Amino acid sequence: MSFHPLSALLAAQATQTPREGNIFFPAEASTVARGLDDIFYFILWVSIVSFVIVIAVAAMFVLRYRQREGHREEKTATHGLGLELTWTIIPTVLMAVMFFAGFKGFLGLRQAPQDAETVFVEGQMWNWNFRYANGAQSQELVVPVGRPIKLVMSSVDVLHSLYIPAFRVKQDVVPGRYTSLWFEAIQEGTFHLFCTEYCGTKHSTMITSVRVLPEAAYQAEIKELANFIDRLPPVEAGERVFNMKGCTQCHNITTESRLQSGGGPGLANVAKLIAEGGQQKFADGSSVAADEQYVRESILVPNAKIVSGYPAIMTAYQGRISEDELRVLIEYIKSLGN
Amino acid sequence: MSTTTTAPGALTPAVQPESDNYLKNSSGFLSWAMTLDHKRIGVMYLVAVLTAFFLGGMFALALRTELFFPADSTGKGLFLTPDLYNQMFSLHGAIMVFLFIIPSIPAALGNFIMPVMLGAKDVAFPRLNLWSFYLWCVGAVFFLAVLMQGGLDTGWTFYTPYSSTKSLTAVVPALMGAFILGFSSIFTGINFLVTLHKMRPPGMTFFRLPLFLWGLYATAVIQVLATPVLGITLLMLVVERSFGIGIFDPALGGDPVLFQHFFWFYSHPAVYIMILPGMAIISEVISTFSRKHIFGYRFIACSSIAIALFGFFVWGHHMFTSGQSPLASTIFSALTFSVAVPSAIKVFNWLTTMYKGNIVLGAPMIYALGFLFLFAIGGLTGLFLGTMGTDIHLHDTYFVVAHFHYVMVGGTLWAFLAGLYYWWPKMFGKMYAQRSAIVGSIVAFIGFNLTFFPQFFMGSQGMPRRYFTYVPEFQIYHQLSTIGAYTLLVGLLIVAYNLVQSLLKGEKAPANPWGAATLEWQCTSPPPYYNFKDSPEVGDPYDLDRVQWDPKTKGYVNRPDYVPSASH
Ligand code: HEC
Ligand SMILES: [Cu+2]
Repeated sequence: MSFHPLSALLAAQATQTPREGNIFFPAEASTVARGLDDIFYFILWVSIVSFVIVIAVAAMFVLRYRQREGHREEKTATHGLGLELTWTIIPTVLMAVMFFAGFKGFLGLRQAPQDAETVFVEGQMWNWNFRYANGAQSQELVVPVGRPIKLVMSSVDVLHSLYIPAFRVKQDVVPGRYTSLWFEAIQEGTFHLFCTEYCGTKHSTMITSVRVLPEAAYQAEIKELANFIDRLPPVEAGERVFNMKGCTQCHNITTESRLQSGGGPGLANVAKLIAEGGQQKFADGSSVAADEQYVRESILVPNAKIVSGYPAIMTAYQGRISEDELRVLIEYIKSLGN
Repeated sequence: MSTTTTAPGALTPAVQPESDNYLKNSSGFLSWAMTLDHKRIGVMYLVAVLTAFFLGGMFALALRTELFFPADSTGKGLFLTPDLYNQMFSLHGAIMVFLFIIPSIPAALGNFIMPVMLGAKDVAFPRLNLWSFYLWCVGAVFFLAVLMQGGLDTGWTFYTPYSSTKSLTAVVPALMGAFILGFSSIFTGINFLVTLHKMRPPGMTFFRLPLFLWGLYATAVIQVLATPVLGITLLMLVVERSFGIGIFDPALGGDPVLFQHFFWFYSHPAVYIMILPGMAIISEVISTFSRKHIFGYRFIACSSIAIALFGFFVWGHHMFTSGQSPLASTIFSALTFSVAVPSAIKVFNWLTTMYKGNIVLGAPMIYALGFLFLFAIGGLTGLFLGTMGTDIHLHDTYFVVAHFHYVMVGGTLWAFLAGLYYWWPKMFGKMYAQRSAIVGSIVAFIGFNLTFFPQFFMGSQGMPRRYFTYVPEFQIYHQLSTIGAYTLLVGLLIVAYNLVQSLLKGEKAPANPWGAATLEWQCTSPPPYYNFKDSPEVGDPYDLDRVQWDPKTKGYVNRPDYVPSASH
C-alpha cells in the first residue's frame, strides 16, 4: 500500500508494476487493476486521516472536558461562518478529486479497445456458458494473456452479474439484452469468477474460474473445445455437453434426487425407464412412454410435462442447444442406466 | 422522591398528582388499543418495532451461524439448506428495513417526543396516527403470513424478473405487506409535517425548533414524497406476478432494469428516512451531555433539509453495474458526493459543540460517541462506493454489506438507543442503572465491530453478498464475523436486562434529569395526559442556562432568575 501523488492517480495507467495480493485485494491480474486500486488507496488514506482526526479530537475533548470535580463548561461561540465554510470546502474539494479519479477509472473500464476479441457469455440459473469466435463452448472462461477480451453477455432467465475479483471487473447480465465488459489479463493462472447478482437457490455455487493461458495454449484449448462432438464417441461427447450446459447444477447422474437442494430428479431414473420400456408419470396425472423423444422434449420444453413431485423450474433449452449437442446428450443420458 | 420540593419559579413544572400521567390516566386493554394519545401510540410502536427487531435479529444470527463453515463437498450446510438460507436473509432484510428501522425513530420515539418537544398537546391528526400504527400491524401480519406460507427468497430488494416469475415463495403477500407498511409510513410523515407546520405554539418559529424536530421534518418530507413510488412499484410487480402483464420481465416485453430505477428511487431516499432522525437525536444528546449550546444550529438544520432533497437524485449509484448508461452513472456519482458533504458538516458541528464543554458520560452520551465512531466508518466507506471506478469492484460484495450495516446499525440503531436512553426517564418516569447501561453499550460496540469490520476485507477481496456458502479463503473472516454477532447479542441482552430492571425497580425520574432546555423536559416524567396545562414558554432550545441542578429532586429545575436570550 503506498500513497500516490494526484497526478499519478488521475493519469491512472498501468505503467506501474502490479501489486501482489494483500489484505485488501487479490493480486492485480489485469491491466486496469493497478489504476483502480490506486484510487482505492487514495480514498483509503483520505478516510484514515479524516477518521483519525475526528476520533482523536472527540477523544481529546472527552478526556479534557469530562465532568469532574472543579471542572465547569465555558461559553464559546455557538456558530462561526469561517469554520463552517472550512469544513464544507475541504471535503468538497477532496470529493471532487475522488469523483474525477473514479470517473476516469470507470471510462477505462467501459471503453473496450478496438482489437478486443469477443467472447459471448450466457448466464443461466446457476451456470455460465462461454462461446468463442471459433464456435467452441466452455463452462470455464479461457482467455489468452496479454490480449484484450470483450465479454458480450446475456441471461436466459433472471439477472446475474459476472465478477472477476482479480481483474476488478463486474457487469450485470440481464435477460433480453446484451451488456458487456472487457479486460486484458496480465498474469497467467486461474482466478475466481463469481455471480454477484442474487439469482435464487444456488446463487452461491454459480462460480467458475477464469484460466489465463499463454497465447499458443489458448489457441490449442479452444480448438480442442470446438469440435469434440465429431472427434469423441457420442457418450463421452454427451458428458461434456451435460457439464457445459449447466445440467449438473440440478441433476445427479445417479438415481438420487436433488429435490431437497432445489434441483430435479436423478437422470439414471429416466435412463432405467427407457431401458425397461417403462412409463414416466407427471404432475397432472398423465404418463407417457419414456423414450428418446420424451428426453428430447424434457430438454427443449421441460414445462410441457412436469415429472410428478417436482417444481417447474427447469429452463427451456429450445434454441440454445444444437441438434448435434442434443443427440450426444441423449446418448449420454441413456448410458446412465447401466 | 417526590416532586413537591421543587423550587418555585415561573417555569417550574406544574405539580401534578401521581395519577395524572399518560400511563395511569386510564386503564384497561381498550384504553390502549383505542387511544388517540400520541404518547401511548409511541409506546405501542416501541414495543412493536422492538419485537420486529428481535425477530430480524434472530434471522441474522441464523445466517451468521450457518456461515461459520462453508457448505461441505456435497453442498450441505451446517444446518440450513440454500433455500432456507435465502429465505432467512430475505426476511432479515425485509423485516429490519420495513418493520424496524424505518419506523423505529420517527414512529416510536418521534411519536412520543415530538409533540411534547414542540409544546403541543398532540399530533395534528391523532386518529390518523392510530391508524398508521394499525397499518403497521397489518403489514406485520402479512409478513407473518409470508413466514407461514413458505417464506420469501427474493431479498428485500425484490429484483425482477426473479421475483416476478421465478421465485416459488410467497412474494405477493410480502409485497402487499411492504405496500401497507409504506402507507403507515406516509401517514406518519403527513401527520408530522402538518403538526410541525400548524401546531407550533406562540414563539416557536422554525428556527427555534429543536434539531430533532428538524430531522423529523426532513424525514417526513421524504416519507411523503418517496414512499408512494415504492407503493406503485410493488403494485406493478404484484400485477406482473399475478396476471402476467409484462412490465419488468423481458420474456413478457418488460424491462428488468426499470424496476431497479423505481425501487431505488424510493429506497435510496429511504436510507435518509433511516439516518436523518438518528443524526437529529445525536444533535440533542451531544449538546445536553456536553452542557453546551449546539454549535452551528442553522447549518445542522439546513443540512438535514439538504440531505433530504439531494437524496432524491442519487438513486442511480446503486446501479453502476446494472447496464445503465455511463453518462447516467457519471451524473449519479457526482450527485452522490453532494450528499456526503452535509453529513460531514454535521459531524464537525457535533465535535465543536463538545469543545470546552462539561462532558457527562451517561449512557445516552456513550451511545452518541459510539455513533460518531461507527457512523464515521459507515460514511467514509461510502466514498469508495460512490466513486465509480472502485464501486465496480466492490458492488454486491460484503464491502457493501459492511458499509450499510455501519450506517444502519452503527448509525441508526446506535442513535435509536441513544434516544431511547435519553428519553426513557421521560417516557416511563423511571431512571435506569447507568453502569449496566454503559457496559451493554460497550459490549455491543465491540461485538458490532467484530461482526462487520472483517466484512470490509472479505468484500474487497471479492466475497459476494447473499452467498449461502463460500470459497475457503474467506473462512477466517466469516468466523470472526459470526463470533462478533454473538458478542453483539450479549451486549443487546444486557441492554434489554437494564431497561427491564429500570421498569421494575428504577428510581423515580425527575422532570429534567439531564438538564436539557427543550420543552419535553418542562413537564413531569412521565408526561401528563395533556402534556402541558398551559403552553410552555418557548426559548432557545439549546440555551442551557435556562436550568440549574437541584440536588433535592436529583434533576434540573428552571432557574428562577432566567432571562431568555434574544437569539442563539
Ligand atoms: C434449474 C434446474 C435444472 C437445470 C439447469 C436442468 N434441469 Fe432438467 N429438470 C429439472 C427439474 C426440476 C425437473 C423435473 C420437473 C420437470 O419435469 O420439468 C427436470 C427434468 C428433467 C428431465 C426429465 C427427467 C425425468 O425423470 O423424467 C430430463 C431428461 C432433464 N431434466 C434433463 C436436463 C438436461 C439434459 C439438462 C441440461 C441441458 C437439464 N435437465 C437442466 C431441473 C433442471
Ligand atoms: Cu446468478
